[in-house]
Amino acid sequence: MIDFTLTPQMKMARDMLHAVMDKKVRPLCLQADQDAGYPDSFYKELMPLAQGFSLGGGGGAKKEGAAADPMAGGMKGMSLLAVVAGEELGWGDPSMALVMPGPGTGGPALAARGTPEQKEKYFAQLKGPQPHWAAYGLTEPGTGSDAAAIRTRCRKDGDHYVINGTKCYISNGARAEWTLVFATIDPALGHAGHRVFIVEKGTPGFKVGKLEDKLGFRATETAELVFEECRVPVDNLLGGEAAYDQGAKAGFKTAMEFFDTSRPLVGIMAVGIARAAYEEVVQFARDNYLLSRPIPRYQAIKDRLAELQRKIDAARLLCWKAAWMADNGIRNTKEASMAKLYGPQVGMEVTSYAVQLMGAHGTLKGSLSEKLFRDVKVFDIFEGTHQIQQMVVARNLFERVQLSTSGEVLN
Amino acid sequence: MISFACSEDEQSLLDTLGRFAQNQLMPDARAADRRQSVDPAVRGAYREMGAHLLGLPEAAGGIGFGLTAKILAEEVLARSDAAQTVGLDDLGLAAQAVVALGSEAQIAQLLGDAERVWALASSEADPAAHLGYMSTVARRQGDDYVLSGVKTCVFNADRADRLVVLARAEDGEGLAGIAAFVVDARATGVQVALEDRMGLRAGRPCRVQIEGAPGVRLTGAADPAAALTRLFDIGRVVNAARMVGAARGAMGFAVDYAQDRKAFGKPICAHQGLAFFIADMEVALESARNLVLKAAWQLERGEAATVAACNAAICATEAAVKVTVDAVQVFGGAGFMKDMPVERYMRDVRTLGNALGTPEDHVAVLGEVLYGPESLKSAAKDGKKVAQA
Repeated sequence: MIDFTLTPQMKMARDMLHAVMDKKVRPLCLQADQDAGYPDSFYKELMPLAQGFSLGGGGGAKKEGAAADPMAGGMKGMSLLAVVAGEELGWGDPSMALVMPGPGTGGPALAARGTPEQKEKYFAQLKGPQPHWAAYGLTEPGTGSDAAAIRTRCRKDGDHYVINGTKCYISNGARAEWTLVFATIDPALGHAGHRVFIVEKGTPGFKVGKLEDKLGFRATETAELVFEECRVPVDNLLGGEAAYDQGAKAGFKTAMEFFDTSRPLVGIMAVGIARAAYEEVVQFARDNYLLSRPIPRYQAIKDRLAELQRKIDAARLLCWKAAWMADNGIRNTKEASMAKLYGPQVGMEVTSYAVQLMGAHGTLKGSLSEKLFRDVKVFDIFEGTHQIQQMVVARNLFERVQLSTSGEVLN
Repeated sequence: MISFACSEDEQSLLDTLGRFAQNQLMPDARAADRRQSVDPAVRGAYREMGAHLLGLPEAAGGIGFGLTAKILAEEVLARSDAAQTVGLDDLGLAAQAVVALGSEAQIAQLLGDAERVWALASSEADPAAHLGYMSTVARRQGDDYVLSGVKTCVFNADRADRLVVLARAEDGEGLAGIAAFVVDARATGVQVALEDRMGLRAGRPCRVQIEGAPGVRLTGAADPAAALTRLFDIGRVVNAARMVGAARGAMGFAVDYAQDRKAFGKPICAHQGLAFFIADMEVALESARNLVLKAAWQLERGEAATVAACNAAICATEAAVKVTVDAVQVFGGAGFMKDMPVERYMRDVRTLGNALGTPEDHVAVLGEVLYGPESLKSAAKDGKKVAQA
């Protein structure tokens, strides 16, 4: 039966996260934006919450009594819960998606592809009362969406691999205890040449380059990672050597399937941002326009606000549907991409209007809307840009004509 | 528990209706458009399934399927042809008006004979009219009312036995003072003329001129303005579902054509400019459909659904107009020809989008509900937080 009722568990997770965002995060977020990070004491305070949170593992909150280890991303079937809760993260501070201690984007890949020994060792490093992070190192200068084109090289040398190359835009890359680093044995092989290594902090030959200064999403750490004759033990090859015998395409597929649960989450966080900006602008309009300005001007504003709330709800429902499909074992590649495409699009529109309506006040530092407008742009870019999502949607609509990523006909 | 799937009973009903639409509505769609009528055999098959009784409570002759089933049924039928879907809706919104506004006795008496054909006369012929300003008036004469006014875009009116006519009965602001009257469609003083409209032609849109015809006032609602609001909300969502259905139909043709038609050595869908164009159509359409589902769910539960219904109606109009216009574009020159079905979808959707209030009308309602003086009071009560969902 068609139903839009949240389960008690979802309501609890949503309300709990909302309270944390409202009371602890919102008061600090403007300063964290200026300082490009939260104070260390804040991360420690987040730990109880972080234990129950793992991005993209399908978990936004701890499943009661579940054997699943949320850190390992073992929360299949909980996409909807994650999406309902994730909206509150976006609402509080979008940076929360990545500043939350834990394995971050490295978690799901380690959980899906790591050997039992690797999972035990590396998830254990992140536990305990102190905050720890991990990272996922794929992007390079010159390769973003086209991940097959990475140029960081690896070669085997006895019981080690030697890595040479540079990674960029790696979230939590400087503070990560370990980073999953993608390299290739031969760029000509495409995905089949890819190898993934768990590189620990402090490994000789691995150093952190510059920390990026960003438009928004500033409380997150974004690092350049440099590898110069960096020697990594064979044991740190993700999944072990046998996993690559049939070609790393299986690994690539895992990465793509990960998107089916992560993209609705990215979409909903942008919806959370949009909602935050909408609340700001409605309040601003109420305070400044309704009673003191001529009615015709207010009518135009009401119409526009009504349009924005409608688009926010439409974007939210796209995310919910994609997550609901994931939870019910229905293939959702197209819907996940639509959620990822439309959520940030609405986020851009709403935050931009919030800044616009506030006129001279809107662009002042210290206004939440100003920060949200800068923050939301990245949601239109990471996890596949808007244009990548259009490609995915199109390819999933045309069932008889198989298209390559670059639009060539394959059949 | 959130679910985007309907119940098993609803699904099997929709599967049946989907086959009916494919096998009976689709092949006759172009001819029905030209004739301006639904084929009697098709109508017979539709009534035999009991489809005309969907969405009515059992006291009003319903068969155990609620508003969600009715709304989804309209969507499925409109995928093949929105015009015949409207033409088949013999009880339609008029019956919903009796349910929303009539007393128990009136509901039982008026809807007791489901073989009758009903039509809702809501839109005013005076272009300056809107819900708050209706030029159709009902004057009291003893125990009865006498109606005068001109209505337009009244579907199925020339086939109808009974009309439900909205008219101003007393002075008042907005919906206050507006009432619904049951009028015998063949009474002296009622003149019905088929209109020549761009779309929904098989739905037989008519102009209805009423001069001194007697009407029975529907008197069951404790809060008539709220009941009228619910009626309009149901109308908005039913119409939105039809638009989404029709747009889905056009989308199917466009997706198919894009894979068959070749240009510059490959199917046109392999050209990214066109592929992205079609991807955007899909996003718009899915967004609108989800809003329709949410509004249907709220209506079925009997909740106040004005925000959801207006959201659904506006989004569906915008999305369906975009998708059907763009579907014609995908077909290029062929899309402009009546040999291809896409131009029909485009005409029908544009007509649906104007039939029960335009997006501008819905936005005005939304602006009042969300940001008007009443909303300020409730916002002050809740603090300034706006709850999710």
